[in-house]
Amino acid sequence: MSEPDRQRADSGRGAAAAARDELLRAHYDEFRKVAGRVLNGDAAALQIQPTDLAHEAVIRLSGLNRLDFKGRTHFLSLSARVMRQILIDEIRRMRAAKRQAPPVSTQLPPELGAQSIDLEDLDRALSKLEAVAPDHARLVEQRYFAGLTLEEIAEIDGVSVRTVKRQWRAARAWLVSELGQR
Amino acid sequence: MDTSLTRRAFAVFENALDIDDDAERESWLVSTCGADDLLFREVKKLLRADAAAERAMPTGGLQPTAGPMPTRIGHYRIVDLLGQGGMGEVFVGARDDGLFDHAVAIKRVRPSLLPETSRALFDRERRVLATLSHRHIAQLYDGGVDETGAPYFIMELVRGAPIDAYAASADLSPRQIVEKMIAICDAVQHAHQNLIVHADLKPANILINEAGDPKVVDFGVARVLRDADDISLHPQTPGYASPQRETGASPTPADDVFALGAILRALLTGDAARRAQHTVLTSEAIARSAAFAARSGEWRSNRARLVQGDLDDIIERACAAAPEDRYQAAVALAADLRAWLETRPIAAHADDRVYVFRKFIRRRRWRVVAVTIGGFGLIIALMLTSTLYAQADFARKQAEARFAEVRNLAKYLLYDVYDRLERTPQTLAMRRDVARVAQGYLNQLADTPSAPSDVLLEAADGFSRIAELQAGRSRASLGDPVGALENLDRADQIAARLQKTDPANTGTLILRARVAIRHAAIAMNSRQELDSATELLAQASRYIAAIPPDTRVAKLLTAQHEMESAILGNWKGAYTESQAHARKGIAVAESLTPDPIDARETQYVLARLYDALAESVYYGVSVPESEPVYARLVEITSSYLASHPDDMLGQRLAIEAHWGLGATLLGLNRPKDGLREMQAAAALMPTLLQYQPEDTGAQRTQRIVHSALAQALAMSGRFDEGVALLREELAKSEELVRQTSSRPEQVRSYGVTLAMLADLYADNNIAKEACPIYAKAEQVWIELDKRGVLTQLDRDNAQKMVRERQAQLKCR
Repeated sequence: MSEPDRQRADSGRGAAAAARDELLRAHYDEFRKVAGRVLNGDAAALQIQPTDLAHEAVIRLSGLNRLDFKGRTHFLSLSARVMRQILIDEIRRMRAAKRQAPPVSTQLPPELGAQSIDLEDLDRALSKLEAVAPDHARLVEQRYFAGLTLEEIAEIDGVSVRTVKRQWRAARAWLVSELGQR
Repeated sequence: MDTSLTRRAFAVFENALDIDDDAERESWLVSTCGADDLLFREVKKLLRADAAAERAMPTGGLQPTAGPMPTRIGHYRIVDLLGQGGMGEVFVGARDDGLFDHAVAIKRVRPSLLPETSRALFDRERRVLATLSHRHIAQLYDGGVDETGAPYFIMELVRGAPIDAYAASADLSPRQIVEKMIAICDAVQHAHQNLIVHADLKPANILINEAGDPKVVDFGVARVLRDADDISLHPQTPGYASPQRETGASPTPADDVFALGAILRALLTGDAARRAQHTVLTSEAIARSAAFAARSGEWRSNRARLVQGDLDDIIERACAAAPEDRYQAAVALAADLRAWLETRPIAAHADDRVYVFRKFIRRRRWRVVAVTIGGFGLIIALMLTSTLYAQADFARKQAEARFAEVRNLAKYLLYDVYDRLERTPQTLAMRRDVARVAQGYLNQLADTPSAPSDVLLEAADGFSRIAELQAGRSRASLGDPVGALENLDRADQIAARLQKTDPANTGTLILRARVAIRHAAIAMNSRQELDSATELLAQASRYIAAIPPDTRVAKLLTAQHEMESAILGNWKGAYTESQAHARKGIAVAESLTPDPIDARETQYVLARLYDALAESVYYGVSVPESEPVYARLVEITSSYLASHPDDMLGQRLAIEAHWGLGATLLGLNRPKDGLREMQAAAALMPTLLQYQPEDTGAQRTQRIVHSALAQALAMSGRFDEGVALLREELAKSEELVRQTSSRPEQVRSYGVTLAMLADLYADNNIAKEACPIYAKAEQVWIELDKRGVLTQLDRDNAQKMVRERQAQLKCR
């Protein structure tokens, strides 16, 4: 079966290909590498900013250089979830591999109380939010794991900035009280 | 947690945000929530949290600070102010938990200076630094934002002096200076390898610690190479800036090399580097140096003599006005400095045999002198010097031998090791590693400025080979089309350069043809860029035309070219054209006498040609007429598989051939024959999957084969077996999705399998079973869409299809 046929056979019998899917898959390992390297430090405790990973990913993922700005933010938005998963997976892997794995924390932005929080706690909180309000959780991912601004998110999702801002404030308020309860 | 409560609270909360007045909002809340006290309390809780968050970051920007010295930042107590710079202050900090004595440097960015962009600049600086770990680069430990909103980062505290002050007070000799410079070059090289340029190298940014080790600090203006941001905010210090930087060009590694040369010069002359002084030789500048005015004339001329010649040349080359005349890398500069230390020939003179000879005489001077004093005759002296010359030649040959070693290593990895791994089950990760290591070697080869053209051609060939491993279809590729395209570009750039100097070189033409063909394959199959594939194939045929036509390589390239042209024709729906290409390719491929050297490639090309021909006949002529072509394809692939049972390529080609023939037979309403072929395809799947469990392509093939097999079973009156098969497939897929960290492609695969099962029911008019499964499949697409990972392709096809069939069956 040739590639066109294979595509037809596997994509709900249509034509053309999953170019973006391909892009994401191609970069999955790069994300992992970026995350892995950050976590491989020998520090007693690690503090990382997920948005740094996103920025670094953009720079390191050579293919993204070819994308224009819009393509870039779009791709980042697409991969926010993947980045979050990878980060958490890598942390878990590191913990499994090292007997004395350091805790991995992140510094929340001032609007979220500027506190230092264990990344896995943040992930748990997000999963909880996801179960209730997936759109809001996705917004946090886009903002916090992909480093996108509210304006960029609005542009990508094709909604007004006002809508995104309202949703962001709801998600943020929920996170503040959720994390405050720990 | 009550999910519906939270959801409702969000809705009320978001509407409440529109009301600015507190009292008004309160009364609106009371009336909206009515008797629902829980909802009211939930919304109030959110509003309180929102107010706190808004206070912390009212405008979403940073709070300007211009206050007194902070008492603490992060986990650190501020002990001292180390300095103030353009971007902010640097403090000495100490762990305030008393656990251990650990002093650090804390750099706090002054946000008031650049209120809008400071955070981005800072983040970039931190990001850049964090990637660097080298014993001669001050290490970044940590970073964050302090209570006032000012970003900070914590880095290795270097106690010591800038290198120029240190060199003056410790009275470093040229030899000691060169030793320090070599360490600095290593640090800069390390940064360059990580795509980071320093962009502001100067003595003040190189500290010598208490142990005498240099540490490069303040990568504050360093830019990631590919980042095209404007850097005019922070111009480089004059004197250390290359002419290109002076004119405002983006920093490159060549600019760092220039700065390194300028630093070396400054240290040797004792004077800070100044603009446009590079016309005066360093050794001459020593005599005039104000810093050495108090020294004796003898001291100065001794120093000048040491520097004269080699070090003058090295500095001149490092500080050449044109970047292409400079050392191409810091490591090359370091190599020459090392050679100077060891009084070895330096690259600045590499082609100058007399020079090499002279150098060897100097190194063995005592021997030459002894010979002269001993009064031996001229002949003996000549004999001796020719021995020395031979030794110099030997040293050069040794260097070439190391070169050859790297070449052989890359070749060995890319061909022997990789192929062997590919025939071993479950080696994807190892193969990826091998490709990565080989890539490193090739980069090294291609970046060696003195590499001769045959080495460059070989490196380019290697890049093209890696591209094949990354995205080629004749193997279980590493699934990295983006990386593959990059390597192809790289190969073609080198080849294009080589072609300019030697346009008729067959090796270059072959490479360019191969690269264009591979590029075309990726363009059409991974990216649907049919126009660019067309253009690339046209280019390839021009290259092929210039290769002597009767050679085996020309024929093989022609067959490959026809194969890709035929596949492209099928993509475009130009089936007549496609048939012509396929038939021509088959004729060429079958005219080649079998040769074990390229047996695998020719078999692959032949199979693909028949496949493309069969497909073009199937779609372009008629289904019945495609049957014999598919049958021939099965024959070819089966015989290859029989003679190469370990080769997964044969396995995959045979599976696909059986599938193609089977699907054709089913289309001709010959379910028994179709079933036989599908069973043959399915029987080959376990081996393939066992070898390549991580290969998503293999999993996809399995899904396609099982779906067809189920269909064949149903058509043969064994509907229940078909359903059972897909249910089994579904259970496996569901299991994967249920794991918390399921990847989008696993979810997608679950959706596709659901749709297949539903299709089977629907085709057999069992709407009662089909409808709920379609609904589930639809749910999967929605879920993917929500996650933001539903591709346009799936939106247009898979999702649409599910909806259409639901409508046909009147599910709702």
